[in-house]
Amino acid sequence: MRAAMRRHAAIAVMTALAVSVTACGSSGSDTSDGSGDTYTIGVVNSTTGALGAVGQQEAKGMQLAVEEINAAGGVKGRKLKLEEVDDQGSVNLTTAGFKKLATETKVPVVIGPGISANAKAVAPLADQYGVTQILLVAQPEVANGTKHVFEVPLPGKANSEAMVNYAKEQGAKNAAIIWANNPYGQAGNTDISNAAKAAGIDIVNSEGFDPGKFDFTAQAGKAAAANPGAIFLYGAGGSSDALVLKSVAATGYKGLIIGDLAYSSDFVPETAGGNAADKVVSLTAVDYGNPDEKTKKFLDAYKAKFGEAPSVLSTYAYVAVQLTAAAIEKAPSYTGEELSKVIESLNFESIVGKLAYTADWRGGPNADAFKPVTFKNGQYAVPDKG
Amino acid sequence: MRIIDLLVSGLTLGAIYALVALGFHLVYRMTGVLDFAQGDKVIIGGLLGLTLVRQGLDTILLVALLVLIAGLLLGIAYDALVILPTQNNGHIATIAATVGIMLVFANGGHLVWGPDGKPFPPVHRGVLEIGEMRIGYQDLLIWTVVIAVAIGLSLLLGRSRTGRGMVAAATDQLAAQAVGINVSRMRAIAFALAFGLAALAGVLVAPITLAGGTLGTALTLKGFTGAVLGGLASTRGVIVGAVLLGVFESELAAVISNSYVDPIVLIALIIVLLVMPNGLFGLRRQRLA
Amino acid sequence: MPDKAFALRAGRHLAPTVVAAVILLGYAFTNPSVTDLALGVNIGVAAIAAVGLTLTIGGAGQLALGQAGFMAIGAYGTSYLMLDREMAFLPALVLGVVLALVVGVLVGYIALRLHGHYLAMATLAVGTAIHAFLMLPGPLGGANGYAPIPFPEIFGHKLLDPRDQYLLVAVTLVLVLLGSRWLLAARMGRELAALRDDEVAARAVGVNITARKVQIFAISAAIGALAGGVNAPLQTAIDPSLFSTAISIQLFVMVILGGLGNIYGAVFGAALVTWLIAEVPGSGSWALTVLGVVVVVFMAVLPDGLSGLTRIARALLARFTRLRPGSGATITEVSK
Repeated sequence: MRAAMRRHAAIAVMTALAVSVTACGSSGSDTSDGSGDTYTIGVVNSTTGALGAVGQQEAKGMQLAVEEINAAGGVKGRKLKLEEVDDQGSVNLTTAGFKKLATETKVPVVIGPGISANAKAVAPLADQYGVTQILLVAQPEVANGTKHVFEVPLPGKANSEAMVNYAKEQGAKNAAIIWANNPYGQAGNTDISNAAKAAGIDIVNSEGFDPGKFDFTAQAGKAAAANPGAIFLYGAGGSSDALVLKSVAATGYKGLIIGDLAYSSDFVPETAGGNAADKVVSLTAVDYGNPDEKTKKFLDAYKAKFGEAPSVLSTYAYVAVQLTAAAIEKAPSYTGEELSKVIESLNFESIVGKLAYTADWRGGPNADAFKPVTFKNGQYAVPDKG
Repeated sequence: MRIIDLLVSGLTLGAIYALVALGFHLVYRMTGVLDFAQGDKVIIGGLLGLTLVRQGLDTILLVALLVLIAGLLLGIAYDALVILPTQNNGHIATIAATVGIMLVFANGGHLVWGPDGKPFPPVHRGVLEIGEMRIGYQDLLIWTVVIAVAIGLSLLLGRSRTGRGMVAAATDQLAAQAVGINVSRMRAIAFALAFGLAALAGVLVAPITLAGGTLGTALTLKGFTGAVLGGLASTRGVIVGAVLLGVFESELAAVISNSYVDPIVLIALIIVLLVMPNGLFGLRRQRLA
Repeated sequence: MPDKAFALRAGRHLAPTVVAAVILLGYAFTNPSVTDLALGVNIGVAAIAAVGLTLTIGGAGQLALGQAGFMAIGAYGTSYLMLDREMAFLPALVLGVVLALVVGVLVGYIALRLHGHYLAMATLAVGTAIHAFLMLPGPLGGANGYAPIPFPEIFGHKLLDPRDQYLLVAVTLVLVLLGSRWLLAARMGRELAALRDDEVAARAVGVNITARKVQIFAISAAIGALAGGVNAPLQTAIDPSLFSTAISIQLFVMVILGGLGNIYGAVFGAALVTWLIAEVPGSGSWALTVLGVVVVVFMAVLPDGLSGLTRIARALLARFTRLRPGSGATITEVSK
């Protein structure tokens, strides 16, 4: 028995030591508070985990923006540098990662996260630690009412409204919804239902799909069987979205298929098949079909660097870095306090629309910033006005 | 008409589950181990296929054959590296080892191939139309493979010398050894087949499920559910059980909201385990390990 | 001498826990950074849940793989009561834990009929089903998450400071360790060990197997819920991904690495896994891949986990101390 006790005591000591040692081991890091020749910007992103694919798109967008800015001479003669934390989609790691960026790396501005619960967890911390936070979620209610939190993405609600408006313009009287059972899709389902009610469009069927699955015959069949004027698709931002579209097209449904911005991703034609991709009209924040000069430059640069078209989410991340750089340029000092003040009054013109914030409104640009985009032969195109 | 469409997709879903379930069956009968990495082997197979396709190999049947061979070899390595060294340390150690290898497959796959599912070319893109019914040739191919594998396995286990040796080794290891059966070779064959079939399944289903992604654990659970439904100890049972599960899931989604299907299937699994642990076709007398 | 017996028994379960408590709590006063405290919170929460799981897996030999489901019940129960019902933290936590206790009893009844692998799959299914239910859109927010949960307030003191938050988790962990140690040292623990080693024999000597199994599942579930319930208001937002199957599997790995049945080992395993996942540079996938390899290697060469290291170390030490005097020493010198 005494031996057993000694063993337990030994393990207890080891355990407690390990906790302290591991915790201490993590503390050595550079404290770049803007002095020197770089501006360090914090990033909390989910590059692994269930939504890792989205996080990696966002990381690419940020990387491109930083390279472009640095190649053009940086900001106020200093280079930008990203200090990235991967929260793996877990709220626990988000809050820990944010605290690390705020208190150890001592960055005054943090970009991300892009998952709604994680954003909700970080928003109060941003105010507590006086750090400017630029969220990549499309839910303005998370940022509204805070002091230091802003959002770049166009509100998901606005996306839903744009989709419903488009359906109304095309003469749809009733519609079905197929939505991803994840943070993006669940919010989309609610928003589309509300917007449709307001616009006088009947929702005849609403079905969720699990983005981790592959067989969506049932959802597509149910939606098509009701034979509505339009089918709204609200995707998860991953390749399963394209499989849903493929299933809907396979039912032989003849009406409108209207997708959220996830359906403007360039993998849609390849994954869903060309026929299916030609049928969907995506209401999206980036005008892939008919880009203006600034947008085209970005699309080309991204394609040259990564060999694929940027998704809307990577574009948001790209814009977030540009917004930060513009704010640093104007701010008298590199502190969260000053950056927040500048961003609020900046009215930054970005490729996804004008980022006009007030003390109460912290969301991205609104419904009129969405453009209809479709595919022809696997290439982006402007849908025919019918 | 919709019911028939759902039947087609349900049969395909069931066939995919069946290929996973067969792996469970083989390994379980040989070693009494439930392999938690079974679903992830399918994903690895699809990703290996994807690599071959990206290397410019565009005959998908050849890709499938190469992946099958790779899977058989991987299965032997799997037995030697994961199962054998841990089996003498108690059954929890072996389960833990398969859980560990599941982590390696799932996350290592993400490291090498990225986290998102990738499009994968089918053997044949066409669709067979019989009246109102539409069946993809890929679905037909998957069904054919499952039937062929089922017949092949029951012949192998029932008629061939090797198969009888495997059954003997599974039933009583010591006795089998005493009559001169090479038990460790039998085990290696079982693991090779389990991995090989899963890898083959990976290539065949990748055009439908996409290659890669995060399907592994879901496939493991569903394949197991199908296997248990039919009776884990019977070759015929696991296939029928898995196909039934696929059709049931698919048709269920037509009548209730889709988000409820998974919870219902999982609860059904627990009830099946409690009420008829030997499944629909299992031996009644058999005690569970 | 009843006094001495009592002292012995008390000592047996108190000494290591007191040492752990001093270090765990004392750490908060060594002026740690905010980051370390945040990591400490994550480790502590994982450790609480892992200790709970150790009681079922190691204590009673029942292979359970659904612990994250119980964390979810505690987390969502506590959060719902705090946010929607505006209840104070402590009563909300207690009710959340009681809810998990009830569900744990149900799972305990499942364990009465299933063994080994089958039980593992069934509990994995329970955990996955709880996750799937939480994903459904509804009052609990579905995949979108549940927020904003107010920070916990204990006796009028709001836990905003990272050190207070760490202390809350550390104190909870110490209490759980104390309780578990007492449980394992008491009659219950010995009956569980008997159940683990040979169920038939245990029944023969009069152990009430039904009661013990159901009790241990309920207690384990309650401790899991405690971990979830303490963590949720500290993070202010939760979503189902915190309680997915992957998390259940991570908790299982912590218990395995710590050595089955050793509650301090489970804490060690929790620290190692959480630290790896948070600190391995690059991406989380690397950490989990490495972890998978570590588990396989451990199961092959060190099946009793990290607590096996102390055994090996002591065996080596004993060999050296025994060999030191006399001629044996020269032999060791040569063989080196």
